[in-house]
Amino acid sequence: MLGSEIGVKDGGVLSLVFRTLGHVLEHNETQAIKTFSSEVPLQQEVMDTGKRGAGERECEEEVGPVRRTQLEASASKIFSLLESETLAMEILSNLVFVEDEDGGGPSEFSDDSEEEPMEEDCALEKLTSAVVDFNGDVSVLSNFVFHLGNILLWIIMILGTEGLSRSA
Amino acid sequence: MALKVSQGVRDEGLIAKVLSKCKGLPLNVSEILENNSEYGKEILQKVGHMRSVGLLCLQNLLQTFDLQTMGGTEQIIEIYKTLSKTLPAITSMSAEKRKEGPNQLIIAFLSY
Repeated sequence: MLGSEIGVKDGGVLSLVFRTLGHVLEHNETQAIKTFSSEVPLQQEVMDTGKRGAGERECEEEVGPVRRTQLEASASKIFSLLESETLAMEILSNLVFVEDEDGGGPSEFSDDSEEEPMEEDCALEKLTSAVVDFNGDVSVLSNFVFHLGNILLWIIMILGTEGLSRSA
Repeated sequence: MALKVSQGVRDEGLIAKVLSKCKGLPLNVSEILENNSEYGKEILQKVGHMRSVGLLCLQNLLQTFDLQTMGGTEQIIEIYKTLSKTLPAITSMSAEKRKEGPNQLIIAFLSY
């Protein structure tokens, strides 16, 4: 079922998955971490100046929160980068265990996807034949009623003409 | 492994990319992160987790790809050496955290 849903059998979808994994793993998180670590002492410096004097405390109030926000933003960016890369590698680890359909080994994708289309095809065939039969019955019945109506109309017309001639 | 999967791994150069993720941070960067920042330790922990996942991914890939695709014997020896260094560090880190947990709770309770 899962195989048919994500289209593992389809080579195009699989190549798209690998392209996405490659794109995610291309990110350079080390550079982002280096930049972050170079910003960290600046924040420490500003936090220290707050303890020294009144003039410098003003500086901390102006600059401190801005730097803190910047650091928070870059830290959250690094977290999301690291998490996405970890996830990509976990996906790759699991993709390694996907086997060919005729490989003979256990494959959670191929087992389900082989049964499902067969059932679907059978159901579709049955449904199609049922619709055709039903339509055929309807057409026969309507033809019969049409012809019966015609015959009755002719009988009424003949009887009517005879009655009129007798009365005349 | 399915042929399409191995082809995809080769085409996208995923082995080299995963290998690059398994390299550790420079020593001075990790020292700064450990000492000076509130986010630093969390970043270090996440980098450690990513490295361990990457190394285990390479371990899985090792079973199916040949030596040349994996970057030669030296690269494989390096993978196993890094695995042996990284995994105990991570497991001990989590064990320390588990030890710290109750103590911190007691301290927080007493201070309250």
